[in-house]
Amino acid sequence: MAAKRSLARVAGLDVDLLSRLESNNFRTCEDVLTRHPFDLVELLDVNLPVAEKIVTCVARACCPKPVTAKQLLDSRTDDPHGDDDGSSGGGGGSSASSTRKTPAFVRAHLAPLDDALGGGVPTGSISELVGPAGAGKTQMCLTLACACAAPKRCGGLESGVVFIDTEQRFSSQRLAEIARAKFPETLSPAHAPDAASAERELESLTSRILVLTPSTLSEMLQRLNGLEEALIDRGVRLLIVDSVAALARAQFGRGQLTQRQELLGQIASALKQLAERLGMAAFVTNQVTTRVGARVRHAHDTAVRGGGGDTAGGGGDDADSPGSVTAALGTKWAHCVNTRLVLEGAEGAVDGGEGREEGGEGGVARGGGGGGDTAGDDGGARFVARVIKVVKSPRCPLVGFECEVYAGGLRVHGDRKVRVDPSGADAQGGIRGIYQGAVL
Amino acid sequence: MADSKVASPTHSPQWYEDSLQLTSVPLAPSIRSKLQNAGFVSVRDVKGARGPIDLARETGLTNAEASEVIKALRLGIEGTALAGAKSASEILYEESRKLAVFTFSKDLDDLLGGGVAVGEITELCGCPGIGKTQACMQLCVSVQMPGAFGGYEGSAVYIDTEGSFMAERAKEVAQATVSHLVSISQFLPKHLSESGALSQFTVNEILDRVHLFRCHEITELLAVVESLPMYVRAHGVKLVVIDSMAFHFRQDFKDMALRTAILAKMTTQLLNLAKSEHLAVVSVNQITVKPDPASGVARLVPALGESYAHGCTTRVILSWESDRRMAYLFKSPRLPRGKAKFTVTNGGIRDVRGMKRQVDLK
Repeated sequence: MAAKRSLARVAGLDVDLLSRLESNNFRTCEDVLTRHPFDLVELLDVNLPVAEKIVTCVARACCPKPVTAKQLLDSRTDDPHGDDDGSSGGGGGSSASSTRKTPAFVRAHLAPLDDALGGGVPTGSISELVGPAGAGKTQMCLTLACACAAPKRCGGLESGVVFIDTEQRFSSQRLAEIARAKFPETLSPAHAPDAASAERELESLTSRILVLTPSTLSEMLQRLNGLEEALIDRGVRLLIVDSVAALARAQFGRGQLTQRQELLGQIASALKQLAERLGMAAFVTNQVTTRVGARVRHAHDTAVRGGGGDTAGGGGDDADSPGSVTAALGTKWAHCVNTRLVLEGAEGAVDGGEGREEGGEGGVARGGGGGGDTAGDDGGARFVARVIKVVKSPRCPLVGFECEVYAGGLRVHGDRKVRVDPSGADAQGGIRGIYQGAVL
Repeated sequence: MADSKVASPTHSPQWYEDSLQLTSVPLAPSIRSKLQNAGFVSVRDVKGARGPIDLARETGLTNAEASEVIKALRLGIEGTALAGAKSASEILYEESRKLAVFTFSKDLDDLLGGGVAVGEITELCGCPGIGKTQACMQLCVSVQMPGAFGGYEGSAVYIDTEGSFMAERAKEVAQATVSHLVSISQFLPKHLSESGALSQFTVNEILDRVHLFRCHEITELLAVVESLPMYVRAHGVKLVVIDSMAFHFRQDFKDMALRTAILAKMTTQLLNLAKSEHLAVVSVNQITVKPDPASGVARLVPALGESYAHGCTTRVILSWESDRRMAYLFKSPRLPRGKAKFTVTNGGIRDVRGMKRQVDLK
């Protein structure tokens, strides 16, 4: 932590200067760098050249070491990308971890999605999955955890996973089921040649996944800050937070949005630091929020109003249509996220209103896809395909796929692409605002 | 101080020095009080002293301190009132020779008066996913284009506060740019195409000249900006990207006055750097919502507040207009407001129509 770096550890400051700094309550680098050199002259009673020298020394000590893009590229390997046809076989991860390079991705074993993202969930940054209730967010998380913790000989990374479960949705039974269905040759007693070893493999897989259940946002931040050691010891390559929104929305009411956003920003910062320094992927889920009515004037206010309040949401110029949905937590959070995936649509067998709303979304998503063979019409469709979309990524263009939830977690159909409409303009009632633009 | 008047050199108008009190010069308080006790009130009084030894004798400072005082007083106010002034025609000449950094979208370049200008801070604001980071990566590559193609052949510094820079993506952009230049090089006049301009312009070379600083907190960002001048000179940097300015500033501060002060300090440093080293500074800003109490309607505005809005020279707002990415020139000292379509392709920032940029061949 450069900010808290003690001035005593800054090279180039002599004892006299140090004592002078300390007697004036300058203890850390942060104290010096947030001041103008002229302030230092006044406060420390030194000449301007000396003040400038102090600033230079401190800056040199705090300055992160630059790397060139080439070095960065060389230090990361695409290896997990190497064999992507085998969601059940191959050893892509093994060679990645045998070298000292940090893999650039954690493969999700969802072939078309992995390809689209350039190899999988990117390490070193925050990826987010947004979706309405029942869309399959937790399923996706479990699938990812499973793929990451799976033994190397079936293509996994055999690494630790930290699952921060804020909604008490983690189901180890479901995890085991996904693992068995996804990697039947090694993990399922029914299919594997040796039932006992399959059980053992499964047990070691599940033991690699560590579940934390913080009950408040601040507790989560504390835990994240104290997690370093455990992350290193367990070789964690994937940190899942399912979901960020639940705690944020529970802990803070309407009047406390500023505190909420501040805390969220700190969490994002902590996640990014951990992800980048440990070469792991941070994967968080986010809820959606509904905006009814058209109190917002511009389409773009939506995502933004989400930041202002959870009641704010979709809407926009045509926000009169009720039930327009957008990602929760607002633009500030949306800016913090490096990659954003959207999961939408679900079997409409839930209860009345909700099912209806989701049916609408799914139907629209299909319409946007331009070719729904099952014609998910708004009207009476009880079954609509789920769609997973990449709506923000520094790496890849916008793309969407149909997907389904099955015994082995989530499955993405690479052949059924869905057109992603960037601004969400034609998605009447779909998840909008998530990617909606600003007309300023 | 009668004798100081006699000793004072009688060249050039120094009216502004008369009025400059010692309190407004960055001197250590103890030294200043010694000077004041000895009757030195204004800068002219001190300059009247014959030299450091004289000054030291009169004030009780050590010789070294006195010498420091005299140096400090020279700071910025040496010479005549017109020192460093240029006529508009000189500036016009200088500016006409300035190149801009191409964005690779003709429309966007036209909007910006040829590209991202050198010697200025250009701010890109926009909603998440609009392509701010993409534009920055594109600029990092295009600033390195060989001179034969109208490029700067400079390196780029990328200050990444958000962790969005992806080397893999930069590689794609670099590849596309290289292959584009190779494809148009056959149309170049012979002496240029055979001069080997492209031999240095390979993907590896390009990536080698993008220097990445990953800042995890505000202190690191401040430290980087503080050490930039040296780094820039050492590496021939022609483009500094800060992606994004907003991230740390929006959460690490409780004291808004301090935030404003630090932002102003950083902006000044960057502006000075841009001017003195003739480089382009691109800063990325996020957007935020600002409720308008009058109408009860929330508006989307760039983050970091009103005072920061004055800091950048040119402000470009990227946003969606129906399905199109659109860049709005919101603020510029020399260009009219306007807008331009652009798109993000596999190869980087491009025109919507997919037109190839017309290279100015000489």
